[in-house]
Amino acid sequence: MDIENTARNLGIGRDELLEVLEIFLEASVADLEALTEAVAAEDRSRAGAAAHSLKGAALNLGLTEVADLARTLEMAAKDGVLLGAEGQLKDLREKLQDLTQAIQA
Amino acid sequence: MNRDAPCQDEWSILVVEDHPATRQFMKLRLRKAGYRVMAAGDGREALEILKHHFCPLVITDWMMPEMDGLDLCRAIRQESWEGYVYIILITAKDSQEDIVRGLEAGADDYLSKPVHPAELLARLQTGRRILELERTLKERNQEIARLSITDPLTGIYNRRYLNDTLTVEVRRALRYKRPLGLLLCDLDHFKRINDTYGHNVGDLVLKEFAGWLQGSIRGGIDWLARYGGEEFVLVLPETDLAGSFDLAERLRRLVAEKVIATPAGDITITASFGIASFTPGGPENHPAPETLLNEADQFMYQAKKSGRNRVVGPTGNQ
Repeated sequence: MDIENTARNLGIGRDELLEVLEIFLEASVADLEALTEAVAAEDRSRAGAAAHSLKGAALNLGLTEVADLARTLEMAAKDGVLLGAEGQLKDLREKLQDLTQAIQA
Repeated sequence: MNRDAPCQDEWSILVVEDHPATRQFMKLRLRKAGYRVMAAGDGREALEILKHHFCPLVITDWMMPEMDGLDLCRAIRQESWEGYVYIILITAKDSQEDIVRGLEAGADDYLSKPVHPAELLARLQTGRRILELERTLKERNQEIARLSITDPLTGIYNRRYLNDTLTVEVRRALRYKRPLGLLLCDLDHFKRINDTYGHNVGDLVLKEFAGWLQGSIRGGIDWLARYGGEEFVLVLPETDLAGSFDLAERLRRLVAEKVIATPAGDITITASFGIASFTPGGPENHPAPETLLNEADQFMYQAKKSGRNRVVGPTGNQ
């Protein structure tokens, strides 16, 4: 992820973006946990809500890949096809880990 | 690409957003653009904040726990605030049906996620334009309301205000059984001043005279209005007949002693005073405003007839 460029696009400073991303990642841990549990329990409304929360924030911060995965999961929850969602969940977890490394660099 | 429009006055924005990262981002971004930003995590918290710190601009997310953006729009519209609240609703929903629902709930504008900062700032500019229009309109209305009860020459109340407010004063005095005094005063030989020195000097004399009266009454309690050409009425709540006489006599002396410097030279004037008074429990139990004015007018006429520069009231001459 290009921190400088994203910050410029959002119109905030580099350090400010790092601060916001840290908050995002913290919240994402909770969202991801909720998603994982909900997918396992096939709790569609809980899964949908967690994915929606993640999607909205990711979109606003220009994290398109995270947003896309979250959107797919939100759709799956809505359509009741959570069974095959473990793969996407794994992708999402990896993306968030990449992001964590990127901001620590 | 993100040139911010300068924000001269400090505008307050309330950001209502449940996601902490988006909330923080909006706060930073809007502060950078010159706004004063407050933030809430849901609609209920937003209403609490608004009650203590009014914000004319509200940006709210739709989907939130507790109270969502739609309910917040409705709640804001239901209450009366110190000014208009311009609401921008932000959401990932973007079907036409949703847009209609949002606007019907009371949102002024609508933005879909992802929110592009430049677009959000431009929409806020639109909101500020509308708020500025509303402020101008409100100021004009207040100015018109003020002008409609003000005498343009002297700046004191006019006859319209006298008619409306004397009724209120009389009603209040009756209800709470309090005394009420009324003085009607008329400049002596004012026509001579106009004829000798011209209307400009006459106007100056009226302004001075009104200023002396205004400066001699109790601020916030007594008030005075221009009744006619050179006739003025002073309304004195909580003042009985003796108090009314005292004030009238004090004013009579003040007017007779003062000198008005005009382009045509120094001028001295005198005035005649008629008093009407309402005392609770007295024989005149339900005085109409017109009755008080007529009574004062008759005493003022007596003062004129008996030589001017004097005070006449219900119990005799002074």
